[in-house]
Amino acid sequence: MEAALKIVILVGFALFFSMLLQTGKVQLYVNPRIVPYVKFGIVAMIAISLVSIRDIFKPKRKVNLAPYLFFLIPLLMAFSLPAKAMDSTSMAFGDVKISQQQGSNADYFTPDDIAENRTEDTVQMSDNSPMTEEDSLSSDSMDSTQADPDQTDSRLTMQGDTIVMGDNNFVQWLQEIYDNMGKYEGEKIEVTGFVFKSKDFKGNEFAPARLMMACCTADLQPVGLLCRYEKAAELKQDTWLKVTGTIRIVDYNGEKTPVIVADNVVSTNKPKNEYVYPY
Amino acid sequence: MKTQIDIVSGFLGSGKTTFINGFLENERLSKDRIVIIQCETGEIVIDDQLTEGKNIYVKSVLKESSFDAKYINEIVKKYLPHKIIIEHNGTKKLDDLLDMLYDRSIRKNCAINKIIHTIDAATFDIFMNNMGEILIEQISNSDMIVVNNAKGLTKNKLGNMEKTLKAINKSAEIVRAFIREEDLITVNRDILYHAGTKKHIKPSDILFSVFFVFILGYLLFSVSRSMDFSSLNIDLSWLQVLNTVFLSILIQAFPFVLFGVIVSSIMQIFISNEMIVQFFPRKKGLGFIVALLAGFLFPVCDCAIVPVAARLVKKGVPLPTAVTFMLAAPIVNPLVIASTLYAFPGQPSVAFYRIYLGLTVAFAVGLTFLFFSEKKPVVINRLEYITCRCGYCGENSIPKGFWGKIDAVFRHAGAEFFDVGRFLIMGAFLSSIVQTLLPKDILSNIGGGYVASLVIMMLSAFVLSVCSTSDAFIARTFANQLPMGAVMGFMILGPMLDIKNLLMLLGNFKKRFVIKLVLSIFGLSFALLLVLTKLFF
Repeated sequence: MEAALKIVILVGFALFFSMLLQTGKVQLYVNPRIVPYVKFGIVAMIAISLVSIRDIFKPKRKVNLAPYLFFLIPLLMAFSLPAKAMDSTSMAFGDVKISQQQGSNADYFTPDDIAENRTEDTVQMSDNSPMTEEDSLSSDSMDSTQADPDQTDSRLTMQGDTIVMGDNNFVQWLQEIYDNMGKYEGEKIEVTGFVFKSKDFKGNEFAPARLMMACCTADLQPVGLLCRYEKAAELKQDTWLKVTGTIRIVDYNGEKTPVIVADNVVSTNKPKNEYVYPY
Repeated sequence: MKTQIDIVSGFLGSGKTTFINGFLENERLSKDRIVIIQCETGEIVIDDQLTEGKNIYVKSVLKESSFDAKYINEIVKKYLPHKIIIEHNGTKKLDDLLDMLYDRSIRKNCAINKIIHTIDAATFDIFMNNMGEILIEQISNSDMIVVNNAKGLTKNKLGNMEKTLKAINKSAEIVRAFIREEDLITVNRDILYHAGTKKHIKPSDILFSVFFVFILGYLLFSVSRSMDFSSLNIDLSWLQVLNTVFLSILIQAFPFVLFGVIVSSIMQIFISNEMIVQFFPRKKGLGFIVALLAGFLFPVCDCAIVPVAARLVKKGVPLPTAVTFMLAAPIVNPLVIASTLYAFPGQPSVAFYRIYLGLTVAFAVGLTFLFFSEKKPVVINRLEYITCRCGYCGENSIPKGFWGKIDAVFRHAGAEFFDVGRFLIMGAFLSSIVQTLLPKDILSNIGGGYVASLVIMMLSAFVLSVCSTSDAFIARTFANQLPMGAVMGFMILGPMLDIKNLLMLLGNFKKRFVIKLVLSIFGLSFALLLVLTKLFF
């Protein structure tokens, strides 16, 4: 009985995980980067249940099933409730001040020497820096994302004369624009996102934002560029829009911040995967 | 009616035969046919007076080989007894006897009624130290533990012993018997007739009922949903959100936990204690350095580290070293470093300080445990003794052969997974409640000085931190409103301690140790951050 329950739980979770992978719903829960680990988890659980099979036929006198109940609860929840795609209101963001959030981007995305060197030569960075050990690390990981020609570079190519911030490159473009504000001033930009407003926004401001998932649903947070648009007041929170406009650098609460000056705003469909990933 | 089989186990001289005599004394008036099978004979023998002229037969089996399922079947056939009492050989495993009794041919006619373990309180400690493995196996299989000869012991000592017994076998009833005859008899009557029917409200029962209420609620909910009662238009979306967040934490944590328990099991099965201890050098200084950097080779999340650290302690690694390793590993983990770099792009110094300060705190906490060392064992051995008493845990009984070992690794990992997993599930549930219901801007609205913000960030790390790989991203959202030092506090404390981690620690380590650990992590990281961040930022 105990062994049977164990196997039911393990196989149940393995089944749930593989269903998520099959349907692609796994993206509602975790960053795609976790997917290989999830696969490993499936294999491990199947393996454990395989070796437990012969215990079923071995009767045991004392059975304490209570610990297993803990596992049944999430399993039940997994199969009975559908995954919910979050919007900005479902996470208790409440009134996170996006201006400050954007400000924080501005703080940490400000181009300094290192950021400017980054695209040119990653090795150089570690030479100049006093912190060799950590830097070689950082350059490694920077290499893999920033300088990976197959992935990021192709993500950050402009389509014609327009920057298109889509599902795959949203965060990457955001960082790039904050890093090199000067370079992109005056460029055309096209962004798809949902309307995010906060108390601090002026009447003509909103942000076409996306929810960024670093690890799993629990750490979702909205990210995006501030946008100025005359009829911003008419836009409803959480509706999906495609914004086309031009990037301008403005002084926002004492910080230089890139904003989009919108020319055209049209409503659009929710993208298949609502989340964007920093890596 | 099936023949009831009672088993009396216990070491030589622990009072098995005395116990049976007491039982027979009680049975004086009954006409039941009883067969007593003695696998061991000590100083005391079954009292002839009690068996004379009655349907009681005493058999003794001194040759082990002749005691098998066939033998029992023959006895059943010959005597058609109401009851068989087996006086078990105290140096043999109870599991082997049980396996034999579970033979199909026996199960047809017999049922196991009660398993009683007798203990001589005066020699318990000695036996526990020398024959621990077999003693624990027997105790954990018993329904009832009779403590004989308890008179000579102090209350304190007796209490400790009973605590140990409870730790090994939560559900067994412990009965103290004194060697005065009439006491023994009353005890015995209790044991074999009434004790079994006594009902206690156990925590597991409460849990069961909560669980069923939960299921019932769920069924109602899904029924009402499928029937589409528009009148029942309660907004349940928060429940869905909670559900999704909860599951997402589990989905990302389960693989890491599985990895952790498998690593821990491989360590248990394949690597001898000596090898592990040698890996962490004896010299205190060197041991610390290895502990600080070992995490780099071990790219797991903070949830995988707890079982591994517990295993290290069990394997004989000094506690300060293991603690340092446990705290340092999630911070020097390459994935965590990478995520910090992503979260603070263009600022590799943030990642550097995070590693540097994290290692300092880990080292400092390790030192505390070196100077204020723990005398008593800190690891809960429940796992070893109870979840896997199948003989693959003891040092001497590691299976031979590669496949046998692989098999043992997975069985062991399974047992450990279920043991650690429930704490993970509770923790994930708590933190998903916090994540969904607590507005995040509460924190950013709290102003206050540097010290206040540091404390707040450290506390929120405990509450909000989900996984060490995502801490940096959560921390960044606070970066503008709060001083960098406070944000650093979040990123350093988060991987070391959060709700689910705390619960997992409680599952693996003794409470006293966990409290000490938590206090020293909080205290030291607060003090160090206060001083060091003043220098850096």
